Amino acid sequence: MDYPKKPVELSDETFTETIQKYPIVVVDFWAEWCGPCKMIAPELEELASELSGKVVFGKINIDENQLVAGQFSISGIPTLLVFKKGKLVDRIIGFSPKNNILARLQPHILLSE
Amino acid sequence: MPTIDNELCMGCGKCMDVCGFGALILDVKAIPNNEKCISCGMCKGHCPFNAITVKDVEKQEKIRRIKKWALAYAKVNGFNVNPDEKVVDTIIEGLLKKEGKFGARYCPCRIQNVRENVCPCVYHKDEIKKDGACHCLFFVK
Repeated sequence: MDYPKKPVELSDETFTETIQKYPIVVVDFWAEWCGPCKMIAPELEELASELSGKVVFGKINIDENQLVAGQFSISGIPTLLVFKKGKLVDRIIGFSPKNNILARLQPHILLSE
Repeated sequence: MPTIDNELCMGCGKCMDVCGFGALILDVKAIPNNEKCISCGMCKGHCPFNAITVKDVEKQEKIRRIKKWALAYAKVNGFNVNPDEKVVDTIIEGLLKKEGKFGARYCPCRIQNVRENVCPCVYHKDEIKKDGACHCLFFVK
């Protein structure tokens, strides 16, 4: 399978297809003028590279893509949704440093190995 | 200085709660104090009766005033403005963008544009107490 090493830009149109394509997908809901979204972005870039082959990272701009945000009742950003085989398994709200995100993802990764 | 429409003001005091300068007093209706008010406009969006009007100024001046408000507001409430200026600048840009688009300074990190989410939102004090920062990271302990 072709695994991206960087967070993939998603839209309302490509969202479902992407979360079903890979075993574990983490989707970052963000907006341009959200301070903590800007802070979490580089953490996710690093994770996307380090976890390439295991986890795919996606990002979706909620100003431009309101359908998916509404579907998952996103109320604050950044929010990370973790999907396993297309199913929502975890939700991380607000800024978290890389290691905390990794710790939350670890059980999902181990269980799928 | 904000103008308060006495016909509309119900004297609820919400504007006083968000003022960092103690520039509003309540005498049945809210009364602004010329000498203390910097016209930052942060009280405007909190008025449930839309009784507050603030004279429009150019964007850079608005940003300057919001920063001044944030420092004063944090100080009187016993917390701080995030020392990371990039975060603060991003949030202020977001507040002004939301004001332009939706009519009030709604939190740029929350989806719903409802009164509870007008900055300073109803959640920030609890979040600072519990997590050491508000969700947006505008204010920190």
